[in-house]
Amino acid sequence: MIEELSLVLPLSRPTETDTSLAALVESYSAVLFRVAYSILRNQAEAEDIVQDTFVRVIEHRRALSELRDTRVWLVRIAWNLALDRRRRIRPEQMDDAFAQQLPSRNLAADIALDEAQQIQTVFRHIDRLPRAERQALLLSALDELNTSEIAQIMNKTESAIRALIFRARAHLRERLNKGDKA
Amino acid sequence: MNSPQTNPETRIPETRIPETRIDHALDALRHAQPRAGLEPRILHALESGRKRAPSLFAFLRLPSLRVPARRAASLPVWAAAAALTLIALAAVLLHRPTPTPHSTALATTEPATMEPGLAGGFSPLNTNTRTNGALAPAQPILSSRPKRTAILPTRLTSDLSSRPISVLSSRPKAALFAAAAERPAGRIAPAQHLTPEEAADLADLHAPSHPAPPLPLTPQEKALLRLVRYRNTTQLAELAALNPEVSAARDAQEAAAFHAFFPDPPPLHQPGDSE
Repeated sequence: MIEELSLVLPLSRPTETDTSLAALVESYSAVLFRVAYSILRNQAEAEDIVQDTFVRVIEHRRALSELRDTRVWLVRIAWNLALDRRRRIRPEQMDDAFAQQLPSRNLAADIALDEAQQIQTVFRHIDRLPRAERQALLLSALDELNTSEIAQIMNKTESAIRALIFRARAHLRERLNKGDKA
Repeated sequence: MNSPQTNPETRIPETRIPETRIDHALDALRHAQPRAGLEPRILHALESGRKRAPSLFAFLRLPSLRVPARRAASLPVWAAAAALTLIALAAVLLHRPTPTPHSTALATTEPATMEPGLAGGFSPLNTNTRTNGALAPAQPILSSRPKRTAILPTRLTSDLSSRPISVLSSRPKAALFAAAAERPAGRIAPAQHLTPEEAADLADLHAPSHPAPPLPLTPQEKALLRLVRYRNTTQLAELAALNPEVSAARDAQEAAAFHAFFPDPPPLHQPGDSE
């Protein structure tokens, strides 16, 4: 299916190997979806972001050949688009059903419901974290990105990223503990 | 069925430990999966987006005006509506009442002769005949639309019944329209550039509207007209009947004649009256 729809990006240098947009979509759409989803927590919006990211790829196809790391470039585009979209959507537009699907299906209904509520509580606290901490924490949740790539995406040093992640987790622990005691 | 594990030191269920809860939530993000068929959908959307005309709405590339890709399917309808509105506005703004060179070019393509039966553009009620025999058109010809050129002033000669009528014998219509286009609308051209015949044609072309036909005649007016035309005594009597005094006198005369022919019966005698 994907092979039939292969769109070859016309690059400025004919000597270089043509990059297939279909190959890019196949390779990176999943990670881009997760990047967008971690910000938006809405499937339809995250899929829109993935599509918009590849639209940007088409628009900047001339620069594609000069990129050292296509993956970081794509993730950065998706990340910025998702942040931009996040400013425009209301928190209610995030999937409420999302957290309820997360607990393991072989749990009892009451336990699964309790776990879903706890996950929603964690997400509420994550949303209240300082912006840089929140972003570093969410990017660190993705397996596909290591610290140096997160640093590139956020325009920070690796040590700053590690510090942000550490502080984010500490703040979260503290707030969750407070919430439990209250 | 699994039961939630507990931390042996604190006796807190493991799902209640903040660190575990954080990891749980981040795991959820880590393992989020798109709906099935995301890649083909994206490729289809990108392909259709590339096939779509990109130039007309390139100004939408402003970040704040970008249409989300999921809603991009509604763009052609919106674009068509906007384009139609722009075209309508342009047509309204560019409209001029004077003839255009385009209409002149169209006028030259029309046939130069007209069958006598097609002279219906001229009203038989029109009595504005000129000395050269031409009839003024029944409809004013001041519009720039080429369709109206079908009722251009036609020069009718005395042998109207037999020959096809020649339209603008000496000069083509296009030239007349071109000359008319050079002047402000509604004004008759000075005659210095035109022959008298063409000036007469142009005068016809720019002739004002004729007054509306009179209202239909009343019965009294019709009777009067018949009387004037035929001088008939019956008509005179009919006209006289319309006069109330005359009609009253005639009624009285008829009543008197009736009474003269049928006198009043004698009064009836009752059986007891004689006594």
